Amino acid sequence: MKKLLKKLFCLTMALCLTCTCVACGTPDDDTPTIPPASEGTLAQIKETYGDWTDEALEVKAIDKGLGVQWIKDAASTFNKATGSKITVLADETLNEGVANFIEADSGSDVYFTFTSDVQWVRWSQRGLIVPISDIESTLDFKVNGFEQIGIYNGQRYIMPYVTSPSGLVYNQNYVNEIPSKGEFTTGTFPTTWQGLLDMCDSINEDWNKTVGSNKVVPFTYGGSVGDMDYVFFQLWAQIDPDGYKAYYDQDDLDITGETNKSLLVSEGAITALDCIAKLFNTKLGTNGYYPSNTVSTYASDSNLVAEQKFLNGQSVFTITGDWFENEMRDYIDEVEADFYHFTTMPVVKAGGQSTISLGTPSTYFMIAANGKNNNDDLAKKFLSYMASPDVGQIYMLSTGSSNAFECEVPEGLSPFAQEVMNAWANSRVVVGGSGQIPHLTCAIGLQMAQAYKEIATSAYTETLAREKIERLYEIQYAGWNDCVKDFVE
Amino acid sequence: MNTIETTKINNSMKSLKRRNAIFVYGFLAWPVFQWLVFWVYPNIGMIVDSFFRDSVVAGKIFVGFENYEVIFKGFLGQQAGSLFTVRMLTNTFSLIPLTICINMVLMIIFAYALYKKVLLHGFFKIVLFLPSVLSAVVLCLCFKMSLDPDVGLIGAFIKAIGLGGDGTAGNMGIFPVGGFLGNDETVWGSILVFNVWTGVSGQLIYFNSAMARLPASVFESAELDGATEMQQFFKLCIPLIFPTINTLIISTVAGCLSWMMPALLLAGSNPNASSIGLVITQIVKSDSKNTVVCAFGVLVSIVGTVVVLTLHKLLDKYGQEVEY
Amino acid sequence: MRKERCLSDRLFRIITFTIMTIFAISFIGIFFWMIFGSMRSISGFVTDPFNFFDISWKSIAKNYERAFTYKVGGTTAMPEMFLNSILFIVGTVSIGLILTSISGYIVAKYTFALRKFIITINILVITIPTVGTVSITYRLLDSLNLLDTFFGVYLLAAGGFGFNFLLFYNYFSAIPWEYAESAFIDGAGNFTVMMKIMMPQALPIISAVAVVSFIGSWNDYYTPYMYLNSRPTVAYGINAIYQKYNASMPYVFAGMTFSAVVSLGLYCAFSKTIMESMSAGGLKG
Repeated sequence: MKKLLKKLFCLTMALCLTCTCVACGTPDDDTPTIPPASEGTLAQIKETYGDWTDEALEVKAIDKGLGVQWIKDAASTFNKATGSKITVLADETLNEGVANFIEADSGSDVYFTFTSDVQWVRWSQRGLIVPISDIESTLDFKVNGFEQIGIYNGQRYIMPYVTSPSGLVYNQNYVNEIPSKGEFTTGTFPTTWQGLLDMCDSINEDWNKTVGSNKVVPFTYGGSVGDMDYVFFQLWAQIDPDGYKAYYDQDDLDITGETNKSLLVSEGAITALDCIAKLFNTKLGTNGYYPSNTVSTYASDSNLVAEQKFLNGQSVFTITGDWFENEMRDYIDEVEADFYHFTTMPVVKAGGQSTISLGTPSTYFMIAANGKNNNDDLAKKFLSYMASPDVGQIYMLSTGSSNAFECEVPEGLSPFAQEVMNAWANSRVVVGGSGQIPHLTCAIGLQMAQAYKEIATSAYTETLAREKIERLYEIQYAGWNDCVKDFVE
Repeated sequence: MNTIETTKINNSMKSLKRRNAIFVYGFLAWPVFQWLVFWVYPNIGMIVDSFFRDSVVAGKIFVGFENYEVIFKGFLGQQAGSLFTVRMLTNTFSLIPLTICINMVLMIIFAYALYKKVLLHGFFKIVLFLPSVLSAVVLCLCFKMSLDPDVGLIGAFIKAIGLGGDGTAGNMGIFPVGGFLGNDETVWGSILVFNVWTGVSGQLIYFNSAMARLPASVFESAELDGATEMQQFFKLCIPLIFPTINTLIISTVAGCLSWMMPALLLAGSNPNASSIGLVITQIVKSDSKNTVVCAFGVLVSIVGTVVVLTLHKLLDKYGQEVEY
Repeated sequence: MRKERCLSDRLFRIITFTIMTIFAISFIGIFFWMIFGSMRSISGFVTDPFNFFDISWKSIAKNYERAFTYKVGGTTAMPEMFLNSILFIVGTVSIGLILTSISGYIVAKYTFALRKFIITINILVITIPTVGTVSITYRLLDSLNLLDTFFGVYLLAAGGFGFNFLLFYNYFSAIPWEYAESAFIDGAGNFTVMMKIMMPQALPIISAVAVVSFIGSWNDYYTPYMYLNSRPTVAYGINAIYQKYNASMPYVFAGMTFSAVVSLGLYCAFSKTIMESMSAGGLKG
């Protein structure tokens, strides 16, 4: 018996060894998502960016939602054209360890990662990331206002790349079934907020569908990761675009009394929060109030689970963004879903315009000063190349989303991605971000989670939203000077 | 007395002493050196650093007790968003009675049952080892998934018997809002349950090996004298393996202070599930130049030493050393 | 001869048996959930958790292929993580074992000037918790350029003091010196005596410490998390896979099943040694 077990063990070990050899032996065989570039394109790239034969560069990219295939495709095209040896590493937990990678000697040269504003400003002050103002002229930003993001002390240190408009993804099949009510008519996803609320009422009262053992709810969302922020900021920008922008442009370094209170406690923010309160539509249950338009607990789902539930047919729409299709690719294939469509938030005020609000993208390219290859010139050329229209198209084909730079819409986009591009074309775009110190130090950062929690578990009143916004101002005011302090000594 | 012979003996003794000295000091040189570099230096560095701040603009500057103030302000609740909360302390120090009173007691009882060959003891010996063989990480993640109200075994089971949901929407559910691990009230309790569930097999082997080295003759004579197994347990077994218990209690307490993995994997950054080890790890991971964590480390070392010494004295006082 | 047991004993046996059974069932249950879960499709798993036997070849192929080819940190797939784990465990355990056993032996058996000092060092190491020194240690390793390397981790593990030292010290103190003395008279040197006479006698405690250290290293998430990010071990890697695929559990289960099968295989192959070390006969002088 023991002999048999020992034989089994040896067999298992041999299997492991073979697998290791096989896995190590196969090169990074990620299937590119684009057809190989033509000779003409390659020659053009070489002409624009120069000859970098045999020069190496290591890029480390965060592997979340959008994946890293597009960086790999772009890097391999660049390598083919200029002879460089750029390698791309994907790391799904990069945002946790990036602070230490950047500080250590011989980390990667270029990073594409999440970082908070405070963090990258500190890195630039310590000289840990390289200023990239010299490529500014090659950066053709698609959105007005984006060129201010990433600038500190007059120099550009990071390159914003991701523009991920949030929105609603809905199930057309269900929309075709729900009985009309109020401003909602069967077959058309509502374009007004009141219509959305009416549709939710109709779902709960007149439609009453179940899938398996679950009742179909109006919406699911990533409550445990704060996805309601997407609704809040997009509605605020939609209702009062100037006020939204003015809030982020605040530049007071020393705040006292009620300075700038009206920028936060303003009609835009209060109305946006009020719309969320109405969307929750809290009802009294045996254990207190609960949001009746979504799964019964306000924070039980992560964004992935919410999207899965939507694809399982457990909700009519989900709060997400243009990354939905890319993120859920496997699951969509498995359940063979074809009913999902994208739209921006319905308008709140009569005559309002569909709006896309872009906060600071929080995922950036940056060049580390102490990277292993120490090749800042090549790194800058590479970033320049990543901002070019060619790569913009690669990005679009790979992720279904558009990056921060101008490029033509390529052929071959999926219907969902097409809808996203239409939304871009038909919406006003407002950027919520600036190079001002209060913004960079997160003095004006808003932690809405507590407000959402309280709203989702209490009865609706007309003044609920105003109270919560005022409370948010108090918290902000208390911490403002502390946040700013470190940057002005 | 023959002087030549005495000298010869003296010389050979000297060379023996020298050979011994070379052997002893040669082999102890590296451990002591490693101790100096990796224990003494970091401790001293930690104490020194706790009085400095790594300013963004001006480099390392001396700030006296400012770091300690930040920590105590956090404890007193005067600083919003501080990671240093009283909850963290109560969590960590609630682990100690748990591991000693529940885990260790269970381990000893199980080891004794195996020693006394309870029914199916061969099978149990293997199965109770299973958690150690499956990596603790695997168990952690499986546990986390099990509690998920939709897909987890436990969660789905509760749902299937009609108690699903969290009682708000008029259902009879017993789920806490946000799930067991998402709800602030129940998250620490769930982590403690996990600790008990997996903690039983950790040091089982020490107890097994300690009991196996006990002389069977003592037990047999006790048996002949009519002692029941329970009496043998309390009067014979425990005193005989007390040194092992003593050592393991001390090591467990020291381990509780750096315990962080289950909390990290199960609850992430939920402030109600933080522990000393977790807070320190999180701070160092996100900003290795932070010096507040050094001040905190100094405090932890002081408190921890006091706790360990007290326990040691207590255990020695009430311990029953038995020569056999 | 069936022993007559009194009521309290029988009660004790029954209660203990029940509790142990509950634990055993839960462990086995999780194990099977994991195995079957790795063979199901994601949508099946999400919509119908109890249908264990909803397995299909297509799902098995997809799940395992994904688990094997997913590169943690962009660089390391599952088989390589095993290699890293083995390097990590074998290295740290053997280095620690050798150093602590030798130190324990020397301090137990030899008298020399600094003996009290060494024992005090050990007491210090055991009583003073050093949780907060991690930031200094981290920076120290970084300045020596050993941060993300096995060598750095081995250095950290290459300590001669700690609880294992105490165990070896106690054990060697109890071993009689007669064998050694006769070997000295026969002309053997200190080193020979240690390796050929005393160490073999300590085999039971060495095995016990080795097994416990092995298990500790296998479960160790902290050390790779802090010091060895670019060479993920299985413990660290499984969590990384989970982070990425936590909504698609069958992929994660596939990875977990593989790691469980291998470690079970190891356990079965060495179970005889483990059992023997557990029931090492009373070695009394």
